[in-house]
Amino acid sequence: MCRFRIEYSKEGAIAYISHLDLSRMFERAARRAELPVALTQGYHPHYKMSFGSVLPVGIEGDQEYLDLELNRPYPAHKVQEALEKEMPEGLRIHRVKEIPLVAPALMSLINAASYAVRTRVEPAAAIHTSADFNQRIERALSRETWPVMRIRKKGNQEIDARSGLISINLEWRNGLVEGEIWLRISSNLAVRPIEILEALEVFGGINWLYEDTYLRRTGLFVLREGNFLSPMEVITR
Amino acid sequence: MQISALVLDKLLRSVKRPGRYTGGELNSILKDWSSIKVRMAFAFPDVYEVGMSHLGLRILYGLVNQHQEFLMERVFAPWPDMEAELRRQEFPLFSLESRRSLRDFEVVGFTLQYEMSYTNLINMLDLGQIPIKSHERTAADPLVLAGGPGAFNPEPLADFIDAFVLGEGEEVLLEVLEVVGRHCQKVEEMNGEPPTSSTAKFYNRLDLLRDLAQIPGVYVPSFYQVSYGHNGTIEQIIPIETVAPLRVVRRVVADLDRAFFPVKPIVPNIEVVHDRIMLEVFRGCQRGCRFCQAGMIYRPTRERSVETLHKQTRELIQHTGYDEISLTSLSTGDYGEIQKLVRLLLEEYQERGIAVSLPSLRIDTFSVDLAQEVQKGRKTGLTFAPEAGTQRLRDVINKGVTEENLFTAARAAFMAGWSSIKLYFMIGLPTEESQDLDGLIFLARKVADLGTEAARSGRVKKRIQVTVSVSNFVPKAHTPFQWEGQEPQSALKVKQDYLRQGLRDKRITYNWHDTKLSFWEAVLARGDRRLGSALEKAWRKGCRFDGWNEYFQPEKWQEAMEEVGLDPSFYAHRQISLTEVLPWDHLDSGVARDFLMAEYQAAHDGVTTEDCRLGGCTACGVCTSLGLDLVLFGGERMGENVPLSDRI
Repeated sequence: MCRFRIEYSKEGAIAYISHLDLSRMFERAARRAELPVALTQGYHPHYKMSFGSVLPVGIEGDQEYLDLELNRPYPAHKVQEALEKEMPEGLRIHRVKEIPLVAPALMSLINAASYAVRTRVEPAAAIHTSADFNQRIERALSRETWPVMRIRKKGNQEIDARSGLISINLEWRNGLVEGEIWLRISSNLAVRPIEILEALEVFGGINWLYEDTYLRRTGLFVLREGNFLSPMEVITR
Repeated sequence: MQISALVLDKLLRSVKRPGRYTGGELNSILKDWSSIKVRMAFAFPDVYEVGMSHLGLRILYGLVNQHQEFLMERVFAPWPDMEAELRRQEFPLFSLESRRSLRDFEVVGFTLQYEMSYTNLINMLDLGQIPIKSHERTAADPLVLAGGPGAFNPEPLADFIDAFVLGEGEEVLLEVLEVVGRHCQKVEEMNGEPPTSSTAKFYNRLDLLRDLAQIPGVYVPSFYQVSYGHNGTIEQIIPIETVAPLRVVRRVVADLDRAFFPVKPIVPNIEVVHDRIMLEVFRGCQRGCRFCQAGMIYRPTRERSVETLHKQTRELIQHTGYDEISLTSLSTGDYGEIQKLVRLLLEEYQERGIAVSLPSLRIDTFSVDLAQEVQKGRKTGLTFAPEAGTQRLRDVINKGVTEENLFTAARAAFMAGWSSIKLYFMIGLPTEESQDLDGLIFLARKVADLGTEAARSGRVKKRIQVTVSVSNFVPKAHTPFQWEGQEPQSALKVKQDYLRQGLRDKRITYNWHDTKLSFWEAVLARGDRRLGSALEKAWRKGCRFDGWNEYFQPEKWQEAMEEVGLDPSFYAHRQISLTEVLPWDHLDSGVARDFLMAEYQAAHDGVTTEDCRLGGCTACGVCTSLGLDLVLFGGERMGENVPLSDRI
């Protein structure tokens, strides 16, 4: 038995593939590559494979992670080569590293994410200067909570988007807005970047042109004592 | 016109399941257009998940793209949300590979798997900026082809399709593309101008159609004239072009074992209906169920050898990475060496977590041992299709299974630990009486009782579940029941209610089919070319995805028929006389009309006809008229568990 941590990116049209479809895609790639992937026990055995954090449909990811377990020893660079060859258009393997079998799961390790944002402000919002824009951001940030509604099939849920925000850095230039949003990920709440924009609209009065909004997840991190570390480097707790 | 990545991205953001439209899947093929002589779009008139499950697409895509001079790309019916976006932003329907408008292709070929997809076909032409009517197309428009089982009664689509292909596409499509290539304008003749949407593709469209009509198996509907008598029936169908044959004969692959089979099929990014390896073990079936069109138009049985299948499986797994191999055919239990094949595949792949599945098993060839081996651990449910409730009616439809076959199979399955069994039946069959419905109820309850017995003896742990799915008989062209009228909806509904009462049992789940859908299916299945104007009207009124409950609008179909002055009941309900000219009489499946008539008579006499693999030639005419023979591997024909006498 051996275990590997894989860093990959998801770009272009393949960003429109759901997490479930992506995981099936990795399974098939591993099977084509003839990697001896370990199977789970039970009636429906499946590959021992676990992902870091679900990427919302339609959002590209620069540094995404997954762990894979094999039945027998295998050099990490061979795993990398084998998978690289089998990736469909838009998926790329960056790094593969062997990690201890007992290392904590990605899910429990990753607790922060960064997003790149490119969007526009609706002309109707009547924002004419970056000072005005920054003021509205400040006004929203001065509130302690950002209650927003999360629409779900089984009943809507109110969440506090503010509690998931680590930092925000957006720059306005003639209606065009670019910048970064850093978010906390925890087992009870993972705020989506779009919910941060919604909150800024409700509590800062910034109306966005959602159809012109582009989001990209630039990284997933282990936030420890104020440092954003890569899950490729931080293996243990 | 080509859709840019940016435009695609905008479209994808505004629709559900965007993975349907992205393309770029593993093993999809994008060729350089400038080096290609003939560019063809394979158009599937249903949504991506359905179309990508179709074996014919996989075969033809691989076959055409093997050739340097040709290319094939794919296009599917856009879901209504995508259609709305395309229309709102005035973008054409585009192919998944190069994202080009449909009208940029020299050839657009539809597959006709189901009558209720015909409005989607018209809609796709329109969205692809191709004139929907054949006679409105110019040399700048693509050639529009159609094939598949629907081509055996293509008349309702005669106005929209330039040429139909009868029979197996891999046998004839390359010949068609060769001919098209000879009629294509050469780039060097365009005075150095890059082609635009109004550049002529062909020298002369009529000449092209004339040459196509001379390829055996190609039917050009505009070369035939249909005249009608005063009572609305067809008087005669005659060719009006000298090159058009009196009868167009189906094309068939003689040696399936050596025929092309794609071992590098496209692997969809999103989950599709049949998301697994489809290994075609054989084609054709001579069981001869009298309602079944597939059982007539795919004759004769041609098997692939175990060696070929074994080799194909290895390559398919290598190139797709799927974890399931489905052995497909019309009746997989009939494959001569099924045991050998299954054991071979299990031995090699089970350890690697790759499953083998056997859809379409017949009750009489059902072997619990086989099913158990295949389903190790995961017992997902078994499906049996007795089709009718009494032996009398099963003899009428020539479904060669007995009550005992069913009980034996069900008992064995429950004893082996299966808890859920699905039963398929049909109602509205010719000569059906109330006893037949009582018989159906009896069979279903008895199967449930067998389950309860097994549960009492502790063999089944879970709750017993018997699902009874009852469809409505739809008469189909080129079958012995093509002359039989469909029962009126009111009568079918009474029967459905009767069954619902009779099947009230907490172990039984009863499903039935919408009679309205079956009715319109019958109208199109037996329709003539006058229906074209009604089809167009229905489409203009917004009919799309008619096979999908949530989009089916029968009232619009009714309005459309009334507006063009046609009576749908004339097509669906009428008992057609054996001497009448049928709309598809000039199309020859190879099965003799005399044979169909004899079978019709035998049905009414309650006489069965044996499978020719057992009882000798039944003189259906296929082998002699098409110059073929059955291709069977392995000596012992039938499964090891059931004596021969019990099988018919």
